[in-house]
Amino acid sequence: MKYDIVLGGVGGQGILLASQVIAQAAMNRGLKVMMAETHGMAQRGGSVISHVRLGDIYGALVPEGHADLVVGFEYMEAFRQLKFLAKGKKLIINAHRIKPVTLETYPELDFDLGDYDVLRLDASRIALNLGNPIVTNMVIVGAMSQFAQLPASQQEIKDAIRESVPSQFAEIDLKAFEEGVRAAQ
Amino acid sequence: MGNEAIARGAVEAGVKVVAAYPGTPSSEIPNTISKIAKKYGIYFEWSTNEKVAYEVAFAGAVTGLRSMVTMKHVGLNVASDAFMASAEVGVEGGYVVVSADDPSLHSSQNEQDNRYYARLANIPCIEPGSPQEAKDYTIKAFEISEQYKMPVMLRTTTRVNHTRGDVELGDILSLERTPKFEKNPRRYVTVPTNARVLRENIIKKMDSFKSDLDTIEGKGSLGVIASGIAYNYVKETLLLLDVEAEIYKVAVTHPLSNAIIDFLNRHDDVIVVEELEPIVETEVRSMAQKENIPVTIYGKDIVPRAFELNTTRVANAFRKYKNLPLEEVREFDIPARPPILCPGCPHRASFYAIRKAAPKGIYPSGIGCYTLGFVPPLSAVDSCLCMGASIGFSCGLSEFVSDKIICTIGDSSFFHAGIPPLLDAVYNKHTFVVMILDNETTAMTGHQPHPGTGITGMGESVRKIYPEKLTEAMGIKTDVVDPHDVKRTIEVLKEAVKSDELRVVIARRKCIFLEGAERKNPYVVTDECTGCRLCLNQLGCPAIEFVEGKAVINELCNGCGVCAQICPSNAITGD
Ligand SMILES: Cc1ncc(C[n+]2csc(CCOP(=O)(O)OP(=O)(O)O)c2C)c(N)n1
Repeated sequence: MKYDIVLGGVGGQGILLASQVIAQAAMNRGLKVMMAETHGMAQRGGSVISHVRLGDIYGALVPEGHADLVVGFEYMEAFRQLKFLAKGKKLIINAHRIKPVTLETYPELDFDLGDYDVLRLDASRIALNLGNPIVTNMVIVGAMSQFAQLPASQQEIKDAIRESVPSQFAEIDLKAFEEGVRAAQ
Repeated sequence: MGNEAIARGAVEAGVKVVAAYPGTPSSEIPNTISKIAKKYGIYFEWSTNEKVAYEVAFAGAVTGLRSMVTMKHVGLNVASDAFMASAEVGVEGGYVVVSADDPSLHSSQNEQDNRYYARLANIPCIEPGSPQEAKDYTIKAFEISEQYKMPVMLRTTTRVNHTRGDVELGDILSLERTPKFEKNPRRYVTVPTNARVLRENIIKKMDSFKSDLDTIEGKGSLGVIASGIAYNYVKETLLLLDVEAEIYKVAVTHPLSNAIIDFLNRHDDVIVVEELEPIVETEVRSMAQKENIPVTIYGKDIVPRAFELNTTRVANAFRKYKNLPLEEVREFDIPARPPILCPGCPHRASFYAIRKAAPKGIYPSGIGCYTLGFVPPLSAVDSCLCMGASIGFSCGLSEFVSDKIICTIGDSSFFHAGIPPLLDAVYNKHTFVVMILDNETTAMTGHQPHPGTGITGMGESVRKIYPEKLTEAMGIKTDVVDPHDVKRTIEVLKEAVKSDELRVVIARRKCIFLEGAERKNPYVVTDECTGCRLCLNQLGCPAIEFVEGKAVINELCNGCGVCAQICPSNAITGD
């Protein structure tokens, strides 16, 4: 068994924590886990990517065209990482748009997504409604757990959230997770 | 994480001395050691640069303590002088030199394969390919170093350093050694008569070198030699393409084991898969030639040389070898999203001021968060060679062109490599303006302290060194400004440029991520906004957007108030 996930977004969106939660849940199940993430220069508001590989794997990088799940924490970033997704597999797109400072306006992006199984949601709005845009990442984790066949149950992921976040955030993060699950139903 | 695994490996091996200057992708090794140094009785220091770090840890190893120095690939360029000589002098306690290379330049100014350095100095080089190996090989490296009494390079790459995975821990070795410096001029004083003997010794030592770290697995008429991280991609490729092969996994990439000769003898075709330079490949080819082995060797003719490998790239190399159609990667045309200065970053205001003070000037710079000042609309960074180069480059440039020059350098970079070129500027009477962007930290690599911060790697408070005290002692007129006082910063810079002297202006304001940094509520745009776009077009702040003909400030704003100071209609307010 092998399950490959690529998460794309903008530095500061909390991709790393989302990846860690999924990885922790899988690890608690006894699966082999590898993660590769962006550090350094690129973290400063640039595109960031995180590879999460679970199961029978060797390297930490998901081969292009072979991911089971690609998640865009930001609209444009979903498409940037689309090259990793295998045909027929799942794509989650957060509707939130962050305009790159180097562009005058946010570009119109239009790709044929017929090859993929797509879930669109506005995780950032859901998080805002919960009172804190910071929990967008946990909304997305919730949506992932509902929409994709992650090798970890929702209960296991909730346990991993409790393990991974500072205790004062656990409650709101778990609430965000539940909202994400609902949004993907 | 691979880096935490290396730190753990060092602790398990009983390391007692660690010195470092930060640099991606190596920084989490010393970051981790810094937190646990006291607990494990380790002396840890953030050194001013890699050369100093190298020498400090080398001293530890000479006195018999297990010692480690960590740096990114280019750090070894800085440390190379000490590195080369130390290889010949040798050590008493194990000395591990961690060189973290950055294939694909995720966060670096160049791509460089430091396995060449191990060959250049003629010391053993070990290459882990996973977090578990990162820990295990660190321990091995200490043992080998102690056995052969020479420094050992642990060469990692970004995908080893920054890969997270489960790692099995081992016991912590407790070594009770009393450090002692045994005087021995023939060894430690490298005058030519002594150094000639050392030179022959090191060749003898390396000729006698043996290790059992390499492994062989699998079966097949095809032979594959893979080193470090490339081994993982080979394993996945064989599964993906359903190819059988015998794999020789090289853990020690210098010197190569003679076991490879037997391996070559067993196969008609051998593919060498390694990231970056054809180092193992070249050596394997020379082995085949020397031993007269009839084997066809493939390497960089089918495996890409530039940038990091992945399973797709390695699989395509195997497809080339088998004359199969290549797998095309589906590319989508998405506009780039380059990194930018954070909202509220003091560097933004400094660059704005530079453009105002010398609109037609030349702006040499260097490496740090502040390199991002090259991104339009700030466009106030015209060059970035390496750390400290802005001042040395300006020394030359100011002699050859008549343009006004304002060069920038970060505070950590200034202590690291900015002082000798500034002395040169005084000595050789070069005239330009140096702006030290003093955000009171090494921001780019994760906010490590430095001599100007008053905190050591052991967490102790010490006397701060102020750059202005140094520059004034050199006889340079120096002004200290708050870059968020935009008007004054421009005035001071203008006056400095006009003076036609060597001048230093220190822009001091804490990085917004530091404790105690000023952060305020987001500013707001009032109805006075005329939609002139000046704030947008001159600051390039991610917190300012333009909606329906007017500026709008979003929630990213940290309330630095710089936009409010430059708004010609006074349409931006805050608390
Ligand atoms: C020789 C060398 N060592 C380390 C690095 C990694 N590195 C890049 S910038 C930097 C220092 C940045 O600190 P500072 O000069 O204070 O600028 P800031 O990022 O705070 O703006 C370091 C350590 C490097 N590029 N070259």
